Amino acid sequence: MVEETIDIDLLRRLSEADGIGGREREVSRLVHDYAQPYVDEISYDNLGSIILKQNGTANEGPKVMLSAHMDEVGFVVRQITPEGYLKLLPVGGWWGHVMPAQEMTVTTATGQKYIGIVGSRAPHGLPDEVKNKVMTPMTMFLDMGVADRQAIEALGIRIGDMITPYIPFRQMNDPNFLAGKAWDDRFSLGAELEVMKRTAQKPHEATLFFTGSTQEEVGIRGARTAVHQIQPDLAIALDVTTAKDTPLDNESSNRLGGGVVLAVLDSLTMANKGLLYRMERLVADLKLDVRYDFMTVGGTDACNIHKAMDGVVTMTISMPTRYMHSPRLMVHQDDYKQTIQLLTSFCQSLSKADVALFKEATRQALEKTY
Amino acid sequence: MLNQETIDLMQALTDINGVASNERLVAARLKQDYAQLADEVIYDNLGSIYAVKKSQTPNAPHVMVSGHMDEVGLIVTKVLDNGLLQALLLGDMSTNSLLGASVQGDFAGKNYQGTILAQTENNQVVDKTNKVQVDLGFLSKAAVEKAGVQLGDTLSFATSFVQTESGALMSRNWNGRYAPILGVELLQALQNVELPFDLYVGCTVQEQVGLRGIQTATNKVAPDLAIMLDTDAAFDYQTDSDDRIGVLGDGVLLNYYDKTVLPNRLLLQTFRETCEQDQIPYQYYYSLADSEAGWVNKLRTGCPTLFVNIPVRNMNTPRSVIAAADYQAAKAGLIQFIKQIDNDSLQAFKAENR
Repeated sequence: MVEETIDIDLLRRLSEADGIGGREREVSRLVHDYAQPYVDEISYDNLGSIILKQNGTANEGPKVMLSAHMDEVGFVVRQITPEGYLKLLPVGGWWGHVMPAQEMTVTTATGQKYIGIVGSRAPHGLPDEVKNKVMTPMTMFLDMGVADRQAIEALGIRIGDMITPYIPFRQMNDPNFLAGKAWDDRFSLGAELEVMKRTAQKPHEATLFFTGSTQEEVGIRGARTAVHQIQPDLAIALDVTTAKDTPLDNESSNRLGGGVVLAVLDSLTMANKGLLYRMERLVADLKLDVRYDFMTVGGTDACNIHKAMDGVVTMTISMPTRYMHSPRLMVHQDDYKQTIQLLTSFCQSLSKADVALFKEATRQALEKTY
Repeated sequence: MLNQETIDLMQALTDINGVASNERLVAARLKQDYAQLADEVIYDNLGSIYAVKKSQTPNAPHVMVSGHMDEVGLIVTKVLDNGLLQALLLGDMSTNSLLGASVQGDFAGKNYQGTILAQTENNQVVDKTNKVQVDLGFLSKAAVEKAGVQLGDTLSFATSFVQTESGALMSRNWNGRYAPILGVELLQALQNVELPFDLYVGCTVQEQVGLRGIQTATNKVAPDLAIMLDTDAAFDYQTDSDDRIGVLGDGVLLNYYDKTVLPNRLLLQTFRETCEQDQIPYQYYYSLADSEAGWVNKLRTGCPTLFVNIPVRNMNTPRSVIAAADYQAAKAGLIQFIKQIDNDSLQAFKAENR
C-alpha cells in the first residue's frame, strides 16, 4: 500500500461537531467550508443533506453519488424537572449500558452549549435485581449541576434541544488508533472528503456527487431525499460496520486496521455484483487488504438509494469501528487510508460503459471481467 | 366556546361511516364543502381528496394541510352458517374495548346495527388472525345474503357524536375526523384571504392500515410545506405513565418528535411564537408512534413538516374524547400560522438545517 497523507485535524473536527438526526447543520457547515475549494457546485435537499458536485469531463458521463451520513446518535430534552434535571429522549439506537456517568453536551436553539452528566446510582447496598438490570435510556436524566428548573430556563435550554456525548477526539497510544464520538458515520464522511480532494486533482469522466446525508440513524431518510435530487446512475454508500476484534467477541473478522471492507449484503441491501467485482479488481490492482461484510442486522444509506426511481446500481463500502452507538468509538487510520485509495481510483476511472456493464450484470450470466 | 356551526360540522362528519378503504362517504361530503370554498377539487388514485385554493401569483409554491379521514373498523371476511359475520380488524384497536361494542354497516342502502360477540366461553374476542365475530341479528346465512352483505364490506363502531353537558366532545373517530373538520373550517376562515402560495387542504385514505394514502397524496400535491392535522394519544389519565403529556385542555400539541419524523425546527419555533403572540395555549408533546408526516417529510426531495395536533383519550375505541379548548387552540393557531407565512418563509423552512 502506498502511504497516504490524511488530514487528522479534519477527523477531529468531524468527530467533535454535534449533530443528531434533523440537527446536522453544524456538520454540514463544516463540510461546506472544507469542500468549497474542491467542487463546482454545492446544493442541499429539503432535509438538509449537503451535495458537493464535481463535474466530469464527459458530456453524458455517469452520475455517481457517494453518501455518508452526517447525523450521530444522541438525545433530545424531553422534560425539565422542577429540580432542574433533563429527562432524555433517544434519537437513534442507544443501549442503557453505555450511558450512565457520561458527560453530554446540550446544544440550544441558538447554539449555546452546556455540559452535564448522566446520573447514575451508587452501588452501595443495591439489591441484585437492581444491580443486574440495565437501565433504559428513557429512565435516565442529565444532571446539569443547577438548583432548579428556573436555572435551566435561564440558560435558554428548552424541551426538544439536542444532547450529544461530550468526548474530545484522541489519538491513542498507537496513533493509528483514533478514539472519539460519532465515528458512525463521520469517519466515512472524512473519507469521502479526502476522496473529493484527490479527485479534484485531475479530470475524470464521471460527475461526482459527494453527499453528506441526514437522518440515517432514525430511518435512512436523508439519503432518500438526496437521491431524488441527484438522480444518480451509480451510488456508493459509506458506513461503518461492527468490529469484532475485542475480548467481547474474539473474532478476527473486521478487525481494526485490516483494510478495505466490501459489503456483500446487509439486512436492507445487496450489492450489485458487477460493482462488487470492479471493487475486487481495483483492490487487487492497488494491492490493498480486503474483507467482506455480511451484516444481517441493520442497513445503510444504500437501502433507500438502490431502490429509488427505477433503481440505482449501488453497494456499501464499510470501515470497522469498535463500540458503535456508544459515546466513545475507536477506528483505525489504515482502514481509512485504504478506503480512500480504493474510492479515489474507482471515481477517477469510472466510465459510462462501466455503468452499463454493471446493469448488465443483473441480467445475464456473469463473467468476472469487471 | 365552540360556535354552533363548528358543532354541527363535527356532528355531520363524525357520524359518517368511513372505515379504511371505504372513505367515500366522507369524501363525498367533503367535496360539497370544498367546492364552495376552493377553486378546484382534486383526488389521488386511492381516493384522497384536496381542495385547491389558488394564489394569484403564477407558479406559486404549494402548501399542503392534510390529515386522514379514515377511521378504525371491521371488514367482513366470512358469513357463518348461523348468520354471524366473521370480520377482520382494520386499524390498531385496543381489544379491551371490543366485547359488546355496538357496530353498524350500510348494505344495499340500509343501515344495520349490531354488536361484537366473544369467540370463547371465557370471553376472548379477537382470534389469532385478528378476527372477531359480529352479530347483526341475522339468524341464518341466507338472511345475511338476502340483506346484501358482501365480503369486503366494512363495519364501523355505532356510537354517535355527543357534546356532553360538561362541554367535552366525544365521538368514535376523532382519529379520522379531526382533520376533515379542521380543514373545512380553515378554508372558511381563509375565504376572503389572498395567499402568496397555492393552498391544498384535504384528507387522505388508508392511514389506519399503514399510512398509504399520504404517499400517493404527497406525490399528487408535490408540497413545499406540509402541515399535518392528526390526533395523538393523551397520557393524562393512566396510572402508569412515565410522562404526563397530551393533557386535555392544555392546548394544541407542539410535537417535536415522532418515530417517523423529526419536525422541522424552524417551523416548530415559528408555530410556537405564533401561539405565544396570540395567547393560544400550547403544550410540548413527543410520540413513540408513527404518522403520515413521516412520508410527506421524506418523499421526493423532502418537505418541511409540522404537526398541528390535539390530544385524544381512548383513541380508536367506540368513544374517544377531546377537549373543546384544544380544538379551539389548534384552529386559531393554524389559521394564524397560515396567514403569516410567505414564500420567503417557505424557503427558510427548507434551509433550516443547512
